[in-house]
Amino acid sequence: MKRIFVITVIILGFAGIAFSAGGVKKKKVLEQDYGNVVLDTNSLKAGVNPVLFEHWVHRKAFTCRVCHVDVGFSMKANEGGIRAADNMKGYYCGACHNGKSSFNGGEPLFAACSDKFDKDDMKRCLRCHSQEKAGQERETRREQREKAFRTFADNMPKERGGNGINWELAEENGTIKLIDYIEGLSTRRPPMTNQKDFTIGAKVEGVPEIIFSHKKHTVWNGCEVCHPDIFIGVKKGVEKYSMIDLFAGKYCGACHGKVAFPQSDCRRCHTKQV
Amino acid sequence: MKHLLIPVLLVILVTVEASANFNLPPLPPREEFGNILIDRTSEANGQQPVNFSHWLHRTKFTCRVCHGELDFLMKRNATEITERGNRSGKFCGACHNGKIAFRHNGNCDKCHNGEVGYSNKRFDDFMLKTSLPMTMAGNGVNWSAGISSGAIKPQTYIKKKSQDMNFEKELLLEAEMSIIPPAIFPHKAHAAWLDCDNCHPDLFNIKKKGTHFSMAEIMKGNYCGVCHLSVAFPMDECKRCHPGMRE
Amino acid sequence: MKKSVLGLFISFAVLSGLFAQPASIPNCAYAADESWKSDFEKVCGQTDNAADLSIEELKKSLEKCDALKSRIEALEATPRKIYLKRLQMCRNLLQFMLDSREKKIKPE
Repeated sequence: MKRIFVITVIILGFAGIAFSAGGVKKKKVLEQDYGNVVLDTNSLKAGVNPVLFEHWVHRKAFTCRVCHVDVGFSMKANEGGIRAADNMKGYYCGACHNGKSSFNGGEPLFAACSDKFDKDDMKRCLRCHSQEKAGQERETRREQREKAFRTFADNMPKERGGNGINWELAEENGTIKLIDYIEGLSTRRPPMTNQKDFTIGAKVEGVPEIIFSHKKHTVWNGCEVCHPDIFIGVKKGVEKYSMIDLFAGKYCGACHGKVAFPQSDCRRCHTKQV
Repeated sequence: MKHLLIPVLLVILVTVEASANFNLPPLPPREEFGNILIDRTSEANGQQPVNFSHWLHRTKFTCRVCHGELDFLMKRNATEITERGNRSGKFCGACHNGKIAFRHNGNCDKCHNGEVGYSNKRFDDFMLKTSLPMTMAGNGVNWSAGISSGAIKPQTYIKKKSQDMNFEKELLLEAEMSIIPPAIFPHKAHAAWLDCDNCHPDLFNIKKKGTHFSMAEIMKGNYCGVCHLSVAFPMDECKRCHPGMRE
Repeated sequence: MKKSVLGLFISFAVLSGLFAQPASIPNCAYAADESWKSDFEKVCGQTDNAADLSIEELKKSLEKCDALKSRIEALEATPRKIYLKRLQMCRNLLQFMLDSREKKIKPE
């Protein structure tokens, strides 16, 4: 018996080596899909499609701070455990999607969730709970989303990677105007302390240094979004962040590669002239 | 005697596996090297597969244009190219729009012809017109030397420029067997054609302790084999990577 | 005479207590209409300029955070979940600032 077991293990081992595909490039996320998050705390269990949350729709009008600090959304999908009841009480999505709040002179935002399930309500539910399984509806929805994205993106300054939109530039030159404070929702804050730019050296010789700008990040984020959960602080002069960690979603990779511009264009951050 | 059976079988297995490393696939003629037939949905939709010629395109554009800016994947039939997409300026349609190159104009069989050697005749004409440095395998052309000598000047972007890193580090890669001299990897020669993210981190994850890029893996189409089997110069010319090799 | 005045007074007090309206609750669930919320906002509204606070101020703010925790834990499920997280983020940031100020860790 033992021998048969050993042989089986060895054969399986060789089979494993034969099937390991080490160098295949991952499929690239399309521009309109970049930053999309699928949320499914309870959706499937409750018999509805999971929620497809599109970051681009929201970041064109609001800072990260409003949602990730004031409203209390987690930086990780499904970590917060958002339930329909929470939304209906006016928390999480329901803080704005309540049928009454409106921004930038637009229509009042549709209310999130419902405890009734009649036809009209279902239409509203499907606006968010749209992550259908494969099928015609999914294709239709995909085309709608692509069209909506294109209409918006064509007027934005462009860059390579991610959404293909240079959000930083769009904010700087006023193409988009970000709402950072919502009355009745956001915490009143005195103006932020000025933080200086600083240089981070690269581990590999020949790679230009990074000039990190706090200012560029605090336009969008509150201090507590990054500190200390993502960045505990670095002893000056020691390069602590390896690209392996970053590509795996740690440190800068918590946002850059998921919602903020991806790490594919090295010179976007490694800007200091050698 | 019985208990020798398994070890003997294993030794045979390992030897067969190891020798499979150097069964290089047969090469097509030089004018056809790098040509592929794309058939993700063509035949299913009643069309002939598309013939695509790499040599024809690399004389005009670097790899990073199609495989970076235009989002073509480096795996045949993996990119979701559709006629509609092409007509709206995506993928092939980014250039084949009547402005940079011929567009969709009832001329379907210019591409949809199922002939992998469709552009072969143009190769010799091209070689006569351009004085490119020659080499042994693949297209018989040293494309990298062609850029350095200025014989070809492929464009590096169409609409969105990527930024150059000027990273020139050379890596010494030890071979699996001590009788084989090490391989030398030059970043500079590759950076002329590719962006950093064409390889990193998906194809080559930058690890502290070097991952071993074994010939077995490369021959399967991983690591260097993604390009250096059927598009860039193939493995037949050992000296191009292992400069110390004797013939 | 005194009894009837007393009785009137008592009935007035009871009636006004019955009919007293709470302060109008705004539409938004997050609005600071309760005392714990306004305390929370005062402490955690400092996160963006925590770099300007002195070590003493930071320590006092941390104490206030700890005091708030039990008050938030007494809330209903949803606001409890949200505000405990917000308090945690706020407290962690203030602690981070204090640590770097006291040279335990050096920020950039």
